Amino acid sequence: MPFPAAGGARVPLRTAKCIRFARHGCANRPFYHIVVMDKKSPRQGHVIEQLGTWDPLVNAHGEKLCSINLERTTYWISKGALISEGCSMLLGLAGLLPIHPRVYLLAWRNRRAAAAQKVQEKEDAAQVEN
Amino acid sequence: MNIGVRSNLVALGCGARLWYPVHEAMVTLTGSQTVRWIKPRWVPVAKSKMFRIPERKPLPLEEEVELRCLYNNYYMAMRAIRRHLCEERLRVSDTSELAIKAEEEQAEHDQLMEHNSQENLRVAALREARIKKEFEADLARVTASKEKLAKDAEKAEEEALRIINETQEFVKTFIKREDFEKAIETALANPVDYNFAIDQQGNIFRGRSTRPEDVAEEDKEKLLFAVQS
Repeated sequence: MPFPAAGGARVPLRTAKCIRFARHGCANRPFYHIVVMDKKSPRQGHVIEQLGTWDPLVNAHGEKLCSINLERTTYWISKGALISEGCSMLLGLAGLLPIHPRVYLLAWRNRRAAAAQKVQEKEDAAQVEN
Repeated sequence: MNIGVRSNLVALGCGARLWYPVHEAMVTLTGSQTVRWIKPRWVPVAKSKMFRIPERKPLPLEEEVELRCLYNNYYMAMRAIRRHLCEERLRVSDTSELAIKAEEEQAEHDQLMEHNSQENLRVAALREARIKKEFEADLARVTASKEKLAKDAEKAEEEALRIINETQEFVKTFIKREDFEKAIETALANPVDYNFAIDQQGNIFRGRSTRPEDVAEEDKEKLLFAVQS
């Protein structure tokens, strides 16, 4: 009998716990639970506790929805749970933790790509005029 | 490779050396074949890609320095946050803060319960009044319907009595058996002609063979309601 997706797995003593995503979507439709699991358990393994949800696809109103139980998240962080990179980026954007450096890196790259595209468009326009 | 799956195998384009199994659900029988070209786990790395090492794009130097700085700051901040949260948890769980909170919560709970009971009493009074009102309305309705039934019965009795009286009156005009011959003779002696005619002035002429000249002016019978021309 598997444990429910919302948690209930045994909390082992003196093992690394990790706050990370457990994928609950289907093909081409990702949906994640933010969960606490044993560090070494597989992605779809037994969940100790669910801390929230994360829907990475934009909905009809152009929003990416995310819900986090801040109380339990702070509890688990204080208990020393590791945080996966994606989760720490998300928590940083949510305002619980400092902004993750990867977010800065992504922002730089996006800005650089946007600038390059702008220059390209300008050149194309000049060519069309000539 | 499993021999039993051979019937579902489809050749890949690379010289027919490799055979990939295709899931049965992916092969449609409607003519157009859909194939899921995913390399299975047991297929090794292609020979041409075996010793390829993907190149790492080097970051600009200033960016690297910046990133290292950012990472250092981030991990430091995370350590500090973790320690702070841990201390906070210990502080909250050890001191009597929770107990105080519990006391407050108990007081609030008592207050809420009091409010709840008051509300219950108020609603109960309202409910009783409503039930009483409904009972009285029921009683009034029942008495009204009883009165109406009695009135209807009385009316029906009167109607029946009237019918009986009328019938008794009518029975008196019946021809009895001993008067039967006499009645026949009387009827034969006095034939009644029900035919009549009407002229344009609204005069009625009784009888089948009566002529207008034979009737005197003052004896002429008028129609009660003259038709408007």
